[in-house]
Parts: sequence; C-alpha cells; structure tokens
Amino acid sequence: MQKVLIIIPAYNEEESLLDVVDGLKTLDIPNTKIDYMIINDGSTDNTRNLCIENNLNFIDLPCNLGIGGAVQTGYKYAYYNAYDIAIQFDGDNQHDASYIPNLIEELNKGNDLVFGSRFIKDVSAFKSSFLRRLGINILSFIIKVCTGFKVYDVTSGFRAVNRNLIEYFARKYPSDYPEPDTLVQVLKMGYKVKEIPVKMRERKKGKSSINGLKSVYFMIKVTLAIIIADISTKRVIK
Amino acid sequence: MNIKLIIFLIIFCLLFGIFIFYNIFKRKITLQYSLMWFSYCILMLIVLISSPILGEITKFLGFEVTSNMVFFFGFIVLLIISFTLTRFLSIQKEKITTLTQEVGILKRKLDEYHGKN
Repeated sequence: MQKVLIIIPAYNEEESLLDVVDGLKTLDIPNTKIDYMIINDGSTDNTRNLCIENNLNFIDLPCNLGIGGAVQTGYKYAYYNAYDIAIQFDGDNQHDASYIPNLIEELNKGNDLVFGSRFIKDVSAFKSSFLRRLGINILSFIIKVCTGFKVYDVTSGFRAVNRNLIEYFARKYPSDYPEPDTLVQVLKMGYKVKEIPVKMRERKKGKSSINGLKSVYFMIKVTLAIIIADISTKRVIK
Repeated sequence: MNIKLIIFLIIFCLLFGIFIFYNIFKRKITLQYSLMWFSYCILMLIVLISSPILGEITKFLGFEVTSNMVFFFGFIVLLIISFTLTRFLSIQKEKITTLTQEVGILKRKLDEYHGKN
C-alpha cells in the first residue's frame, strides 16, 4: 500500500478550492491511499474559514511565504509523515485530477519526477497565449543547453515526485518560480524525469501570477535562476 | 584638505560613535552588528587625523583633491556594509521561512491531536 499526498498551495482561492477538493475525492486507485493537504499561504480572503467550515485538511501558514515556501511546507509534511509520493496540484482548478493515476503510474515505473505537460501531444485545448508559449519555449531551450535534456512545459506546477525527491525538496526548495529551477537541479543530479501529456483548464477565477510587464522581469529572473541552478548543482551521471 | 571640513567630519564621526554606544546600551542593536559601524567610525577618524600626510597618497592614487579620496573610501566601506546587510537579510528570510513552515505543520499536528480535523 503506497501513501500519496496531494499538495495544494492556496493563496486566496476561496472560489475554486472546493471544486478542486471535490475533484480529488473522486480518485480511487487500487493499493494506494490518497490524502490531500491544502497549504493556506496566509490568504487574505475567506480561504481559511472555508477550510474550517468544510472540514478540509489544511496547514495554515502564519504569514505569506509565496509559492515556493508554501509548496515546500507540503513536501516537509510529506517527509515527516512518511509519504511515498507527493503530488503538486494547483488550488485554482487549472489541473485535472483524472491525470493523477497516470502520474503515479509513471513514478512506479521508476521515474523520480513526473509532470503534466500542455505541449506534448495534442490533448490540451488550452495552451495559453502566444507570448507565454514563446517565453516557455525560450526557457525550455535554455534548460536544454544547460542540462542536455529537452523538457517542454517547464513552468508546469502539476508534478509528482517519489520519496527521494520528497526528501530533497523538504531540505532545499527555491522560493520563487521554483519549477524551472528545480527541474534543472533534478536533471543535473541524474534523477529520471518524465513529461506526460495532460489537459489543463483555463483558469476561470483568479489571475495568473505572471502577466504584462512583469513577464519580462519574470523571464530575466527565471533565466538567471536556471543558470545559477546549473552552475551550483553538481552533475551526477547515473 | 580644508581644516574646517576635517573638524566637521571628526565631530560627525564622534557623534555617530556616541549614537552607536547609546543604541547598544539601550539594547536596540547587538554588539555583533555594531562592530562594523564602529570600524567605520574608527577608520574615518584615522583617515581624517592623518589627513596632512594624505596629500601624497592622494596624488599617488590619482585623486584631484584629498576630500575626494576620503569620501571615496568612506563610500567603499558603506558599500561593503550594505552588502553584508543584504546577506544577513537573506539568511534571516530563509530562517523565517523555515520557522513559518514548521509552525504551520505544528499547528496542524496540534489540531489533529485535539481531533479538530
């Protein structure tokens, strides 16, 4: 029996959170115990009360840490409570719970990190704007240059990791734009990474954390983060 | 260097030194972090007191006037201090993040223990 923890970082997600949890409750995988944990990252809206009223599993952070700090809290919880697999799942209902069995299946085949991608195979109706895709393509290229591996949806926050990486992320996790950064670290350390096609929904409520002029700043910052991760992570050949 | 400027700067350094002492005694800053500001004061005082012989060094290093050199070195030391502070800040941020995460997890454990969830 393997234990799976679904980590849901939530910052002001009162409108979508219940839908997300309802989606997860329909999951039933043989020989697998699935728990979820909402990380309320110091929300200023009604997220906390919503969790209490509906008796949801949640960790209430005393102040806002940002996405990296919130997700890492989940990894720490998974580490302390001996979970075999941890899955990151957005609180804005962008991700589709029906792909979770696929992620787990790939992990059980011996991969260390499996993530859902909008850009491989044509299953996804929603692929986000042209500029955003361009940005992701550039980042994908930089990661290819740094690590030698081609990954497509580098900013995807829909990912599953096994016990090895739960332990690693519990110890070390970047605070902002963690996805591309950790991908580089994990690839360089010789862990097996697999990208599988998923459909993602367009977020109906709430806004993306990346928009407008911020995107230029985002690109510069993420590129820097990738290069730093590349230089500071020792390459391990397995 | 103009003697009036030297006296003004010396007085300023002394007052600043007293201000630092005051803060230490009031326990507003720790001794550890006050040391870099003390070194700054002492360094500036040494430079100012020895300013008569600074003329030669000024010429040697290519500064037009001695006061420029004094301010330049003052500026460099301030740069080092502010960078050191940024480093402390980053370390503090990391520690606060860890504490926040652990408090969150502990609160959860406590609730589980009391059977609220």
